[in-house]
Amino acid sequence: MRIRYLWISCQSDGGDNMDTKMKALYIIVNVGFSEQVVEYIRSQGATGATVINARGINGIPKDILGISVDLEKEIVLTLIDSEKADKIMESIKQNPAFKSEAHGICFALPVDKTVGLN
Amino acid sequence: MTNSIEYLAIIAARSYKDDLLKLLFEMKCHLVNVIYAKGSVKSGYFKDMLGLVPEEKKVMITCIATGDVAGKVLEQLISKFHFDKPNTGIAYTIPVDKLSV
Repeated sequence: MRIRYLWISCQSDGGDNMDTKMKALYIIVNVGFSEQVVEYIRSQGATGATVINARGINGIPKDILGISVDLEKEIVLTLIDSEKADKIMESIKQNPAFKSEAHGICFALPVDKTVGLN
Repeated sequence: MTNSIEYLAIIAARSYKDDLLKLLFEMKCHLVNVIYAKGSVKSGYFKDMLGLVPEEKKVMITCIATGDVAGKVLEQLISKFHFDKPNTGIAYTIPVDKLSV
């Protein structure tokens, strides 16, 4: 099959038109730990969060009787000030709970414009 | 922002889903994805039992649009869907660096 790739490079205007200094913080944890994460990010100043169910796939796929067993994950998504996002990311790095059972992974994306954050 | 491409995400109550999708298709947004999610509303036990807690089930709709279109969609979200009022929904855009189609 012939696949045609078309690369479109998007010009960024160097952040001049950036309306906000916010980050979209994605925290991926094992299922059942999202409530703890939400509580924590609330304590750090986040107004709310959205939880999405997800499946994790690692290098060694688990297979029982032909049925693949995936790791159940939850993604906690929140919009937060970049300073607070840095603080949360740092604490997630240091918090042992995220290194053990929760297996927390966290990344932040720069947010350009927002609507509905009161 | 003329040549920029934005990743637009809208999080709202599930009852808005059809209207939001209609808006996105009217505005010619691409790669529209619908993800079911839940909000993180914190309620007391009694409020929860009495059904006084706002809707927890949410829908997250994501798409790719040019900077101009994304701006127009955000404007429409305020004027049509009243996203500027609390407990309606949120939307945000993330700049896309490169796109392969």
